[in-house]
Amino acid sequence: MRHLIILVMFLISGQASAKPWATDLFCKAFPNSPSCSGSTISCSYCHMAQPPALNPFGGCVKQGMAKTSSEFPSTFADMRGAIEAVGQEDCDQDGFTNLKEIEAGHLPGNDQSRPTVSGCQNQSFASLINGSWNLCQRDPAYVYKKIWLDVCGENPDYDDYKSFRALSRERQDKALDDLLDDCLESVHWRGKDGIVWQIGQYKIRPVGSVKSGEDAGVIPIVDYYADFNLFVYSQIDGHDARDQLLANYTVTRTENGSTVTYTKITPQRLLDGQVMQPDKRVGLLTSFWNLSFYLNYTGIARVLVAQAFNAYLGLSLVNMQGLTTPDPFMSQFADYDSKGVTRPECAQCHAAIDPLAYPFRNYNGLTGTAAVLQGQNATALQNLANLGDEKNLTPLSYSLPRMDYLDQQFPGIKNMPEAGYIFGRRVENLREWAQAVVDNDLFAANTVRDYWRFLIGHEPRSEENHEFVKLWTDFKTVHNYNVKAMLHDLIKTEAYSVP
Amino acid sequence: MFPNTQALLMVLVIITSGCQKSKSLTGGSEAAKIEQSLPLTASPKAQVKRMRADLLRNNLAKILVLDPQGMCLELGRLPCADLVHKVSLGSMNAYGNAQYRHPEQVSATSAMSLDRLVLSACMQRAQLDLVNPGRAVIFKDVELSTDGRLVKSEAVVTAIHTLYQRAFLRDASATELENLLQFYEAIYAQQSIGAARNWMTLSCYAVLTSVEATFY
Repeated sequence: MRHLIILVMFLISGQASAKPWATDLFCKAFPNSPSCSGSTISCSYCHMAQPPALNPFGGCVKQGMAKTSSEFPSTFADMRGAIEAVGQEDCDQDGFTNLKEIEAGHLPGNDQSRPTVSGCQNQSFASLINGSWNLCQRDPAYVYKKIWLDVCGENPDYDDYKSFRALSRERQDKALDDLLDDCLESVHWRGKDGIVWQIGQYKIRPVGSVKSGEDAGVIPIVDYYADFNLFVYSQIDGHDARDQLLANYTVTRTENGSTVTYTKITPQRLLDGQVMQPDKRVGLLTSFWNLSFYLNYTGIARVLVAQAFNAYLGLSLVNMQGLTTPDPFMSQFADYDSKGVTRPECAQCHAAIDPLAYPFRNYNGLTGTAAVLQGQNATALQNLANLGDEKNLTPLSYSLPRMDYLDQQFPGIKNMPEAGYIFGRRVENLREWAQAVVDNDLFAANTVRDYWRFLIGHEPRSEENHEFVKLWTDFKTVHNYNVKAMLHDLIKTEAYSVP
Repeated sequence: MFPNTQALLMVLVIITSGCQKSKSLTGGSEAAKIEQSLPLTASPKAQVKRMRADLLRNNLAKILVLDPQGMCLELGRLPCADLVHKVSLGSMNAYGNAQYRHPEQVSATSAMSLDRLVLSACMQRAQLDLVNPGRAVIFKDVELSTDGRLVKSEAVVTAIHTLYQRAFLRDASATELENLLQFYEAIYAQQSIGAARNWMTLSCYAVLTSVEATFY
């Protein structure tokens, strides 16, 4: 087996067409590019929609490589050299040189992706008053109306608005912070299907037809509102946003008129709605919903990992984002589930993807228990004594026999290690994996980007990138992952407050 | 349902047309002319967001003081903003359609859905204000003649300002005021029966489907 792995890695290290590590090298070569700050590039940076076809920039880089080296760059210095060799060219002919577009965080191979500038640049402020707003200047009245609409979910009262306008500038700033605090308590913001809930939709990806409990679907099997409750809880009231991926507790929601309360519940297996042993819980990654829907009967949790990368880091594994290939000998990369992943054309990506999934080794989805087919109310799941401990093959639990069971179908899968690799770093178990995710800049940036998209209405633009980077950097350091504190700074950005 | 679709189309024509001469309650035509010589400055940033279904529903309910769940129902029972037109009004349908992000594009039916929602809400408000003038929200103290014509009075001007204040946090400009006053004449010329009620409904509709009402 070891010889096979070495042979495979030898084959994939040469001149093969796809280069999944290229994105990693690019960002090491240009760490200050907005494309790499709180983000990472995808294969579309150099390729057409269907790699290996190259886009105009990819074609230029290939020429740059020919000038600097005969091989695909293996170090970031070589990568930088190859790109700088064509840096002053404008390969997509959009009027901006390749380096200019890289520095601005745009796609040098796509003529529709161009650096933008603020429309307010070089404008005389005195002439920019339109009767309602002070254009190109921070306008507290404009912010007042936007907070009402965005966060409270409705227009302010006219009389209140007039009273606000009559305040001194200093008192207006204080009033805006107070208003934001009030609106963050609103049902529109924190209630079921409220704004924070909506932000969680692409992370939890609910399916209405299988919903059990409240708002049950036609085939009531699983209740994912517990996932939304935990997610929203982690985003409000000054809580730690990292808890969405680290919590071992569950959360309940109570809506009473205009008051929505989320309450943290002491972990009690089964009684709190989760089957997972409390000491093995890793936030939303190991929830009833996530394991039953995204792990399901699968042996290796590739789909679950891809979904988690998209949801919490804003990365697409399909586009080879966030892949760092560990030493295959150290990672023990092999074709454990007989899917052919060690074939050279597959191993290029799977040598990085599969070790990401190894820490899910003993986390069971629905494997091995017919009773679970009857759903959350199945007899086997109604009694704590029925669940047993980790030596039992229990669904939705940390279960050591899971691999023994799957080994009957995929001989050798039980040799898959629990230790894995994420961002090139070894992690011994899923908790360390989740910790690596929340410690990464991409987690902070993705969390802030969720709110930026909603409150400002678009992805950060070239002229806004400095504010975006400061915001997610502060979210990590100054705000200590407190979304509420971050939002108080977001409403003060030029992007939000200047009409 | 509003009986004359031609008058519906007149809304856009009148509101977007320039000021025409009329016997104004406010002497507003001169003021409007002056105002038009000082056009608004467009924002160089020009960044606005679309009001999505839930915000439209909440806002209309607050501006017009209506039940958010009852102000527009398809087939008399299916809520427009919460269900039937939710996606075309810019919201997502995660549970039923696996749409986990807001649509970035405006769909072909978005404008019609907006028309449907706002027109239904405005019809309700106009009817309520007519039936119970003492508790009117927008068209307070607006009088009708025995044959259903609008009796021109200061109450009409006040009603227009009230609508703008509740919707846009400002008074109507002289031009806007003048246009809505003239709008009654156009409606009356199209169909005299029920002209006052139709003017109330369509004035409300014109204001609340404007760019200022649907983007922020």
